[in-house]
Amino acid sequence: MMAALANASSIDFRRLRDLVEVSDSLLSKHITTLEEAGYLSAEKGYEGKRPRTWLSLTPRGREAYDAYIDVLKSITTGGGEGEI
Amino acid sequence: MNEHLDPSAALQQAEGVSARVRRQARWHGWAWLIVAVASPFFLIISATEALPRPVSFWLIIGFMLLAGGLAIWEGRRGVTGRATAVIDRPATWAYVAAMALVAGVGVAVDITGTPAWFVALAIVPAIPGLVAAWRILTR
Repeated sequence: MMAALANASSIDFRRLRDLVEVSDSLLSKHITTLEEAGYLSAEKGYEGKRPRTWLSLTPRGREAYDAYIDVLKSITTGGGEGEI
Repeated sequence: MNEHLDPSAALQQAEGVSARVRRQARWHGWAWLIVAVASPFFLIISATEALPRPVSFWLIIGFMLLAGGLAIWEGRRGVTGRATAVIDRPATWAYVAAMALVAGVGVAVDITGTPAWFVALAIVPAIPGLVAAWRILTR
């Protein structure tokens, strides 16, 4: 989810759900957790009569994701093994 | 989403998702490219007397449907790329201003015979679209 949002300015809820292949409820749960951590912002609006939620990473979320990827890269290039 | 991944699988999964999102975000660049290439043709055809009037009329309608359809389709895709978020608004304003300028000149000045300067001027609205397409597609 963070990987998807890190490569976009914003992604619609339904599109993100399809991209990461999870259920609506699981995605909502993750959104709440990430919002509480200050990593993600959700903007609700309407397109005609259809409600839409646009999700984007906050600068803090982007920083955290980049740091996470750096750690993964250093582990994989250094030959480290472990569970994430 | 897997709950437990080793680092290389996690990195691979993140890279896979990143690539998919970037690919979807790039479609907006293709939409800009189509509009940029089509605009000068639209302006020149609408000014020229070479084509029968009904043909010019339907070409103009076709262009409007193409531009409108692309805008609606893009809006529904649900992915706004990072480059798109930066370049889209200024490119749209520049494009609209350039189109209005060329259309205004076409109305105010006699362009019978479609002079070379008008053809050159009709290329101007393509510039913002090409810049936007380049920025989005090369990201």
